[in-house]
Amino acid sequence: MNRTDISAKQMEATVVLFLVGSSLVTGGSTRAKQDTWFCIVAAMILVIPMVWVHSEILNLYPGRNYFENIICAAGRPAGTVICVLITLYALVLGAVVLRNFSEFIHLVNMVETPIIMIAVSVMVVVIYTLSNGLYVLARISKLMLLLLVVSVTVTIVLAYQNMDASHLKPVLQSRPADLLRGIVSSFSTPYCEIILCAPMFGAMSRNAKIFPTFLKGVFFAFLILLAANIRNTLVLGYLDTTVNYSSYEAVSVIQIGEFFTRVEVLIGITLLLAGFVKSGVILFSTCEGLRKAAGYRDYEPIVVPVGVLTLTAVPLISSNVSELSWMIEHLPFYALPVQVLLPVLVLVIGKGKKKLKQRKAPRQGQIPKKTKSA
Amino acid sequence: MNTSDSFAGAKLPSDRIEQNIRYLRDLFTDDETLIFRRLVNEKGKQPLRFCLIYADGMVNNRLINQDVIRPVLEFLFKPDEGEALIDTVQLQAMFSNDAKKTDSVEELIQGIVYGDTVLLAEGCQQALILNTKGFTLRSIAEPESERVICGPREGFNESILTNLSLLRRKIRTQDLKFKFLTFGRRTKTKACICYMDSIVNHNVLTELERRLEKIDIDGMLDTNYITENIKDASYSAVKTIGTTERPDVVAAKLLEGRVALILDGTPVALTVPYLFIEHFQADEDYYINYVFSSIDRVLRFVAFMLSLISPAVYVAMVTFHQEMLPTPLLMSIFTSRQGVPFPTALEVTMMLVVFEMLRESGARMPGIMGQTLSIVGALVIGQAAVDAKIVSAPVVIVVALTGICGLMITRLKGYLIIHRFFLLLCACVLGLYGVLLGLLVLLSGLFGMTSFGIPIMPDVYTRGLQNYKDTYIRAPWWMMIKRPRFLSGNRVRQSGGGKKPQ
Amino acid sequence: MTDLEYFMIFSPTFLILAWLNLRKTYQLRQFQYYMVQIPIFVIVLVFNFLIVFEVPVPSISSLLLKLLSHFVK
Repeated sequence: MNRTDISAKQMEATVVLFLVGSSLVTGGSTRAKQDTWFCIVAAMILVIPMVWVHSEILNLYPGRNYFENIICAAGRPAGTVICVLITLYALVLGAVVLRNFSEFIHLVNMVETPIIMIAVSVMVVVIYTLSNGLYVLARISKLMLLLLVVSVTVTIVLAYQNMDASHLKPVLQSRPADLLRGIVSSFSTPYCEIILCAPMFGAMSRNAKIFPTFLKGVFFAFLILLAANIRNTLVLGYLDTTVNYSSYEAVSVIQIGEFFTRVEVLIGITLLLAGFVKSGVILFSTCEGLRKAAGYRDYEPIVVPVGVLTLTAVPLISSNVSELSWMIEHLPFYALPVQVLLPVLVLVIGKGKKKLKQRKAPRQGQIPKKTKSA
Repeated sequence: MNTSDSFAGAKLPSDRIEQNIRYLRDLFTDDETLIFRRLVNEKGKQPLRFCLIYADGMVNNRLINQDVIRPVLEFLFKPDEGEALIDTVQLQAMFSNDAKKTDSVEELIQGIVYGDTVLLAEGCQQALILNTKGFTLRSIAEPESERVICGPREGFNESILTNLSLLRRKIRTQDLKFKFLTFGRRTKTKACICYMDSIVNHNVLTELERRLEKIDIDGMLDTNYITENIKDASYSAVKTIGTTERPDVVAAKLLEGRVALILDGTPVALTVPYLFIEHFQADEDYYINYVFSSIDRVLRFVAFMLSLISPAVYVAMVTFHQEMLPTPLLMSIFTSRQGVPFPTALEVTMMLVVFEMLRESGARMPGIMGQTLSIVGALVIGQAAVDAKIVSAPVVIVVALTGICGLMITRLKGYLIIHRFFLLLCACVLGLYGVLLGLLVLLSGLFGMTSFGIPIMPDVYTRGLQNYKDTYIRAPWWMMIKRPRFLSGNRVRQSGGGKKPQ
Repeated sequence: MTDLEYFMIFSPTFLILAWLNLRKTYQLRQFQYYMVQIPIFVIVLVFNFLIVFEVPVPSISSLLLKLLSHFVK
């Protein structure tokens, strides 16, 4: 086993931390208010076919290089356009994630620290980690997954006495339009961002299957997000939707006796780790896309330029917080074509090409069927 | 290599003994420890002239007197042997257990300077090198830095042959291989690679040999010279090559499939590859009960983490996240900080630097002065500084905790000192988030590092519980039936099958 | 966040990272990477100057808003 290979468990952990990334702190509440849990469940069910689509694209050609498979499947000009679109999406999403994250830390904990400072710090660490190789990120994820799970469990257990089951009622009484909006929102953020997770699977060890690994990661992330969301709803009730960072508010209500009154450090730690992994994966995908478009062999020299470019995009995303909220709310609509349509298109074309090739092949020389006898 | 002391290929000038003596004397001008002892054997029909050359102080005089001079003087040589005279001496007359015939000047010089005696004979162009080494060495004692309460007390000393013999006594099999090398253009120090042929990871062995061949250095005085030349990441503070002074530790590592390198002139032996987890393993762990040693090991982990992050976390909490501390604690810290003019970060940095100075100066103080120094340090700096309101009391507590935990794991000393300050800097910039980011940077560095091709962190090859029997805890010996997969080629350690002894 | 702060934080980081990156490419003699690295660094410099000198750069959100309003119409 090559020492830079990523094992299946490490990949699952990376996917989990990637998906949990920004949603753990914003809470992922939607217009459906107390029925957001239903939206999350529905989104999870809807994303399973998408996971299958990505796995199939990866499995189309040996080598499992996502962007290369796209170019091979859709042909050179169209494939390159698709790759460039995905790379642009990755760049914008990377900047949004970093901005969101920095705004959170700035507003909540460190009001005097400029936002760019936090973004620069995180980005520098991400660049350093990626320069050591993607497998370092995967191993760190595996190590940190336990911390994440323990942290969420602890907050849920400790918040038990502040929970009020009536906050979930009335169950499923929201307007269908709101529910639909909520499902679309949950579906796109964070589940469909797995398109940016897919290029990582090229570095996985050869004997691990993609679809089960991917699915396990997504499912685990779903469990964590669902638990966090239900916790927020139960604790905060109607406030859930009005507050910007619901997870943080929910956890700040927790109080163990007289001694530990501010347990938000747990949320802060998990946020930082998940945000770090998410930024790392997005940066990796952007570098991979750019590398494929430019035809290079290795992505390592490009990590710094792309990182710095993302950093420049951070203040350019929005000029103020209200624009940022608008952006986060409406990003699903811009992202959906890239996240869903393009991969499905690529898969259809790719499978079609393969079937055509298979139909042509038997004509060139009859392969006798009795080659391997008992 | 064109240095003045390279005599590759040079041979003794003639078979006339006087010419050879003059040649060798010219080589060693101004070296007055060299003794030229002429002998004349008149037992036979013709007087036969010999000459012994050796360096005074390096030889065992009794050995020369009884086993070299006496037989040469008393043997009855056949007349007219000519060139075969030296063969007769070597095969029939000499009482020495190691006699080598040579005419290479390089070998003769190496022999003389290391304690061998050179025997020249009239009419022979070849000379004999006899093993008469008798220099004084330090006796075998327990190494100061690796003490055990219960277990073997042998430690390496400065002679390579003694060290190899200590190792050989522990592993009595023909599978244990010793390969000799020489380092240093001027010191020509001998080194030996040791490994168990059927267990070792051959990739590591070839990689080690390849890197050792590239070393070109003037003098090799200690294994650290080698370490810095062959390390994986040359600028990093992480230790990727293990050092030890105990033969039982080396034997245990050889049995796991590692390779050891022993150098003449130093008791410190190197073992490769060196994993991160080995920093926390002490030799005693295997000689006492597994429950106690597991607890000790967990304690060491905790101490390492505390020593690394205590100053940084304290500064972060007090400067950025005051609301995270419980209110009574916050009040007491606040009252003790009244009147202190410096910001917390500066206080902590000052105290850490002072602590390091104390530790470093105490390390080289002889006996009583060391104790005086520790009292001075504790009383003056700790107490008086707090009373004078230069630092606050919690800072002294934090720094003392850091220091004591750091002293628990001596192997990680360098790593801890550097990275403690790094994390402190991160904490000053971004508080607790900065500490976390700093820890992530450290983790990235550790996870990406390899030791001769093998990743040093234990998380990497995860399949199979057998790989973990020796990491965070130590399992009882009857459970450790397989060697860790990535270390060696041969997995089965014992055939008991992991059943409890009953 | 004032723009002087932005400049003071961003420029050392950018300069150090850019210098390390370009030097490594030069040392490894892989000059084909310059074709991507240098344009990106130039773009970053340009945008940063625009931000620091408070030139009203349309943010990405407003661009997307205009795009949406085109489609909605």
